Amino acid sequence: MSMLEIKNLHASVDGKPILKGLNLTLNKGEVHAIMGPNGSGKSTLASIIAGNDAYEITEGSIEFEGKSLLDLEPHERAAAGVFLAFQYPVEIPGVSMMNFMKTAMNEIRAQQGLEPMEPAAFLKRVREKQALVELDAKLANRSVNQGFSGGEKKRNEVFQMAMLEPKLAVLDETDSGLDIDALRIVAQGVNALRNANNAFLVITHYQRLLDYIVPDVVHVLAHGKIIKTGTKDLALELEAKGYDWILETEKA
Amino acid sequence: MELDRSTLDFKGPADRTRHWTGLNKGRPSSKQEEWKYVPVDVLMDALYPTDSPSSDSFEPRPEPLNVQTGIQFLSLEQALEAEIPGIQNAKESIQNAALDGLAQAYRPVNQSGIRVLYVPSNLHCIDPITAMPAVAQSTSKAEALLVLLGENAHLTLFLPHEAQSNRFSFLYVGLDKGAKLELNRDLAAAPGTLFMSHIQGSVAESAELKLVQWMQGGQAQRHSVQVSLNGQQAIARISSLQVAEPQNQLHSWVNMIHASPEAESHQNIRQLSKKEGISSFTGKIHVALDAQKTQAYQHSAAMVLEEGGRTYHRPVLEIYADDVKCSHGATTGSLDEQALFYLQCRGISKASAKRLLIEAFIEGCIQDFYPALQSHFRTAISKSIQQL
Ligand SMILES: Nc1ncnc2c1ncn2[C@@H]1O[C@H](COP(=O)(O)OP(=O)(O)OP(=O)(O)O)[C@@H](O)[C@H]1O
Ligand SMILES: [Mg+2]
Repeated sequence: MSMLEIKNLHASVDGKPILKGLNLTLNKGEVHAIMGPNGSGKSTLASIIAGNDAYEITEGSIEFEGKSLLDLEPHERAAAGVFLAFQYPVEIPGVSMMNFMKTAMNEIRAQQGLEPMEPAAFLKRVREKQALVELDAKLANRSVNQGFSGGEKKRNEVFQMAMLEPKLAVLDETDSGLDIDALRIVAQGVNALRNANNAFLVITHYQRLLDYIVPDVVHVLAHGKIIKTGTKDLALELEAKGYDWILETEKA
Repeated sequence: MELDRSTLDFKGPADRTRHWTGLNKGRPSSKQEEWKYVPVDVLMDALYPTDSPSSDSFEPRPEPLNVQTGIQFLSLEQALEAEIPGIQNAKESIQNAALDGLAQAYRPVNQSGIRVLYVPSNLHCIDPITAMPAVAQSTSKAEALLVLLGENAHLTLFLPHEAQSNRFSFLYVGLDKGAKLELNRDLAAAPGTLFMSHIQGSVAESAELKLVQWMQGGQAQRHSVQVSLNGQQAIARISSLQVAEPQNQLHSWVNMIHASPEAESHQNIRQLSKKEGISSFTGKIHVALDAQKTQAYQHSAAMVLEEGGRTYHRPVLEIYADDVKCSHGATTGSLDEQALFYLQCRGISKASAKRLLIEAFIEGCIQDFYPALQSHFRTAISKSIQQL
């Protein structure tokens, strides 16, 4: 059984079709990269996997560990092990990072039939994961993402992922806006979490990230579909030649 | 002290008895007897008893001051006779208060219902006290409380106004030089009732008035406050948290008068409205011609929680001086969908996510309350938004 199986996915927003028959299969232990031109539907796909109801699914299915994801609310998907690192993390004034993370951990645990985490154990975990992504501990006292720099927001997404240890993590352009050092740190964080039982879907525009997080498979998403799938060499080819040649081949 | 609002919802005779036990604390049992103040914790214990000791830790309270010997509760006649400083102004202000038409209908104030609370100069009441409002026996009579603080006197006063039936209450606050009054009001009204009040305040040089009020319930509530800053370094801070339940109308009105130079005022308003609930705030800042170096700030934020809820802000600025720092801002919004989705993606249910966002929204006002009351209002809010 694959971890994630998307079949013939069609989705639209306000009647405008964005995904037009997308297929994707991801197995445990794998890292897949998705590349593709601006506006091709990458974030839409990520958002739909996480459960954003702004998009209407008109056709197709998404199965996670053999069960339909589409029937679950976003928080239920999170409890099942799905995580989305946002391309644009949302600022939430007044809600402290600590309160947010504690609530998240404990609501997920409650859904899994577990007791709330002991405060000491929680704090220990926070410190451990902050160290992993070298996130400034002071940020924990601030409101969620409020006034964080672009790079801090992205690291904060990886920190949350590390805290929640999902089975499937979708990283939507977590590398954009990061300097070289931050990129390395974020990749380290991801690699530290990588194991035989989880999987990553990494959306990126830059081959550079894939030097650090080495993917098993690279897909090209264009016009709402996966139009090409290959190895990490495909990313190098895209970097050198751009997307036009694939789009042309596709037309032909 | 963990306060549970549920004890305020009458569920049976036992609750009712307990409630009245609380409300009757400090009330004279006969005409001969005088009013007594009640320390806030005694009252809260009676109103909101806790069966098991709470694990909430509070800072140890400072040594209780024997306020009994200092604070005076008097009738108007007694206060006039004793020539309490400021009593004449207070008396006139009851007669001349600029009330609106609706409030006019409730005049005149029942003379025998006027109580005077006087804190003599230099007395610092460290423990907060609670003054229970008189219960108007007839809807055509208003109750009145005159709070007078002498020079450098300090007082924290809690006024739980439980309106069980239609009522109008009048409050006069007179602060002499350097006096400090922190006033917390719980303006809760029973379903279907009409509840109005007016506060007339006068703040002298270097004195500070902090008024924090919570409004919820009733058919309609309307509370007006007029404060005059009459000396340099006089400060007024007014915070109002308005939670309009369905079919509930809440209106607050503030008139901040900067009569003297170099005074400072802050207005901090949060409004929530549920389905067909209406909440409004009208805030006026008046800066007199010679009130130079005034600092006056007003911030009002509203959140409509359900379709059909309505909120209004009406800032009015009348500024005649030219060297002033004045600002006002108003925002209205509903729950941020993107923030909700972000929270949900981390495993937080939609209901909890809403609660987090609403709590964050009102926190800026909750923090203005006296610390021991904050958890009480937080609980009240989370109860109120449970069904959203
Ligand atoms: N909520 C929405 N309302 C209207 N249009 C939308 C919405 N979400 C996405 N779209 C449109 O769908 C298309 C795909 O957007 P999406 O964000 O998925 O692209 P992307 O591949 O992530 O692009 P980028 O590389 O720039 O991040 C775009 O044309 C976008 O304008
Ligand atoms: Mg995108």
